[in-house]
Amino acid sequence: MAPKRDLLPGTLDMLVLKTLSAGALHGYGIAQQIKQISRDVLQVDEGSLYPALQRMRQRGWLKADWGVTPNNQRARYYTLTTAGRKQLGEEQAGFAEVVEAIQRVMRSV
Amino acid sequence: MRLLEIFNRLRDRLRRDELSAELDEELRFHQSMLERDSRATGAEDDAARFAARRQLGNAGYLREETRATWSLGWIDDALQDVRYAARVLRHNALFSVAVISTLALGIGANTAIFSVVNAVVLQPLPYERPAELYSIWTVPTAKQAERYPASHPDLVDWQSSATSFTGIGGYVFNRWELSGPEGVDLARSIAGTSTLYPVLGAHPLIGRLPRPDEERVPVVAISHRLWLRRYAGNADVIGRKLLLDEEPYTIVGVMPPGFHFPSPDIDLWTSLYPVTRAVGNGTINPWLTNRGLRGYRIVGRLKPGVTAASAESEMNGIMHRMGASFPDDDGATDIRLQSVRDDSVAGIGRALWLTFGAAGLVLLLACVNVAHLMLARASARSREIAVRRALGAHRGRIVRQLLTESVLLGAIGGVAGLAVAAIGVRVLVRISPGDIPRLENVALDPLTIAFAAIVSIGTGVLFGLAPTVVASSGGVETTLREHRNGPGRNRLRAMLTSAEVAFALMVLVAAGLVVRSLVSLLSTDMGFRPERVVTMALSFPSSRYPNESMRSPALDRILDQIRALPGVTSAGASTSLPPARMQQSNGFSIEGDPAPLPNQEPTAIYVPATPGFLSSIGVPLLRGRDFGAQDGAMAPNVALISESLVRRHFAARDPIGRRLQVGDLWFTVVGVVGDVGYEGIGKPASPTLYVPFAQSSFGGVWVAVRSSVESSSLIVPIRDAIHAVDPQMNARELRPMEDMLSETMVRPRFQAWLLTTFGGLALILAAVGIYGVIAYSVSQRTSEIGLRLALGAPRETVIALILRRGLLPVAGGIVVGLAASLGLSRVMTGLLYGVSPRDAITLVGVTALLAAVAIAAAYIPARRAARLDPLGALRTN
Repeated sequence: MAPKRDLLPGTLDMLVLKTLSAGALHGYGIAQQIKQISRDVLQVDEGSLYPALQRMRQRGWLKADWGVTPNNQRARYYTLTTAGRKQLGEEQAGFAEVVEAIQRVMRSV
Repeated sequence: MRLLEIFNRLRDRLRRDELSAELDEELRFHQSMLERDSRATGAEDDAARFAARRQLGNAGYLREETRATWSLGWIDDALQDVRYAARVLRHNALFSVAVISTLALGIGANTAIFSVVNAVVLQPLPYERPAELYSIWTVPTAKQAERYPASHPDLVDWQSSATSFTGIGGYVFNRWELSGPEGVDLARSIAGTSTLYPVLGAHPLIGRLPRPDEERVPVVAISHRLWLRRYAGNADVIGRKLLLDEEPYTIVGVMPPGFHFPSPDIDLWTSLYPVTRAVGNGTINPWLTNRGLRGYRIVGRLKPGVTAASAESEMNGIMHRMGASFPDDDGATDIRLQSVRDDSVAGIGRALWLTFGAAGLVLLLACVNVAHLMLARASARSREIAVRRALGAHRGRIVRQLLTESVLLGAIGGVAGLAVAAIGVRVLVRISPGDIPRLENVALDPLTIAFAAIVSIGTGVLFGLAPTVVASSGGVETTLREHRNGPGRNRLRAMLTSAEVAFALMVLVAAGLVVRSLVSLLSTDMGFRPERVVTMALSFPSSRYPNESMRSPALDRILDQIRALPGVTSAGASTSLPPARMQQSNGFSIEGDPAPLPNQEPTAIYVPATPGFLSSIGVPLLRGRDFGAQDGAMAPNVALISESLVRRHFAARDPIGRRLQVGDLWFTVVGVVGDVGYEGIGKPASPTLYVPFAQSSFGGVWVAVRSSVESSSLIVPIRDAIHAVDPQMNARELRPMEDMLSETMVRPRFQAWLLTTFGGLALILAAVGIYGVIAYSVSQRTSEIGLRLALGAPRETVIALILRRGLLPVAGGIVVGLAASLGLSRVMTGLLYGVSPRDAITLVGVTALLAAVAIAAAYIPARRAARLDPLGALRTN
């Protein structure tokens, strides 16, 4: 198993938005998805997902609707809105810029 | 934060409970999924639950964090504080009611007075840029305290030479009998020169004011009051004819309510037609051409950027040059400017501010009392607060909580105070004298309500602050271990008591002075005896009495009819009537005396009177004889002079038989009569010159009838007696002289009534405050007192001990209050009659009253303490 890393501060929103860009998911699903795709490197503090989801919903990036899981359990599914998609684009661009800058600094000396 | 986010937050805040339940369900689902994952890797149920919980994190913290996104931050905190405060206040209903009613009284009284101050003094006058308007007065260089009007030629010269003003206008007063299909009325008017109305820049409600080109056209604008009374507020009044002394004037406009130029008793604003129309045999009215006839009040509008001082110095330069050209009429004369606002509220403004100040002090007293209560309760709650601090409550949070409580109290007190003010304003307007300008505009308008709101919140902070600081200071553990008053807290209480006594004393001094002034007004010897005298006004309109010589015989016939009525002992008439109806004042000279310097000619109130007038109003004849039937129009001119005229102008010489010149006429002095004032109660009697009405008749007279019967029973017979002579003549203001007298006393009475009310409130609040503080300190020291008693201290010693400690701050407050009253005594000058603002009797009297009340208030709890059962008292702690 790969060593676990804490998320870089401020990236949780972007990861959630990216995860949801593939389709609606509930909170548990978002946490699993991030873990799996990052091959267990990124460890989401699953509890902190919920305040973040509420904040993003209030900002109009997400929509929340109750639905039913394949196992017939009630769960709340989050969907990306147009505003959310736009936000994801902005955050991705910003993040890429920062990463590139950091890499330039790291390579320089 | 963007608008959408704020909106969503607000919406979430409102369905917070629903969201919370949803979050719980969501978390349960999440946990059940994690448990399932765990079990799938082979964990036992308990272990799976534990692992799931660990993975999800601190559920309490998580919920708190999420809930935070549904809250409104400090607003929610404040709401929570308010809810908590409301609960606390509900649980202490007695305390809350005491505080709220105290505040309601204080805030209500202040708001009511503020609404009057606002309408009368603060609201801009109904003219364009009223601050530019100045009255221009002429002042004899030798008598700088005097203020005189100007003549028409003076006005014309000023208009052409002064550069400081955009315009200068003048006006004269008239009194008319209004007639027409709407009935007969009596009204006062001003007639404005062509420039007056443009200078004022006033805006009529409907129609317009007389135009500059209408100086010789009979047009008039009427007051809102007259419009409602006479025309029922009908808009088609414009263009109608109004008969003024039976001459038709065209109504061109209606002024808005609250337009009082220059004083509230004016109902008509005419063009200069009453002066410009040809008089008598077609000659030009001397009031237009004679430079010596100073009958015009002058108003000028300063050019923007010109100061009153520079305008005044320019006007003085012009006037001094005019004095060189016309030494007889304009010599030795200076100019004074006075702002129109000061003119219009002269005296009233000052009295209002004084009342407002008294109301403010009463409010401060209320605040101090409430602070006492809060302090006592803060002590009682010190344990609660210590516990909350021990549990980790921030000091700032506790201060905020306590302040919320007091501001909430202040706000509730403010709402109750507005109700008190609504009643107070109605009472004030009803009982206040009618001569206060713009009183009809008094209302609880937005500004007044804003005032009440600010005062309420301000008082809440003010009385809440001191107890809050005390309550939140001090170590947690000491408070928890024992609760005892620190010395700081006692010092604060003593200071509050001192302040309270000082405030109360200041209000009481003001009230005492005004009451003493009223008493001295009422007890002044006015020089006449109004008991059982009926007075009325009659006029001789030129339509029915075209010839001046017709007036005196008609008046004689009317007086004879009245004298024949049963019960009537004497009757007479004159053109002026004490105490406040002065018709005119004239310059005169004494035969044989050196000619006076220009503008220093002696003046006297000039009163044409019939035989019997002076004895009817009870003015004594001191020497010589009264007028008689022999002093007719054709007989030699005679005069009676008042004592003060003799004193001032004859010194030790015998005036009887000397001759006085008034205008072109010579009068021989035949008698000396007592002094009587015509210029208002409280004004000293001026030298007065009486001449026979038959020798100097006038278009209007006051009739006085003395009788041996009840005055009011004569009203109808007198009316009939007048109609018997002239069926068209109507007596106006026909009533007992004492009624008229009490009317002139309305203002001093009103002022005294208001201030005594505030004085009484202050006294009660101070007494309650002193009582409360001492009763509280006794209750705090029960065990100490019990110990003293148990050890054999005499009860008198205990009483003395408590009185001494309780009354020391009272004594301090009295000293401060007396010093402050003396320091502020200048405020009162001009509002008092016959009593100095530093009147020793008042100061000693109110101090004694306050001290007595304080001792009584302190004695009750002291005596209760001395009666304590020592054993019971010792056991209390």
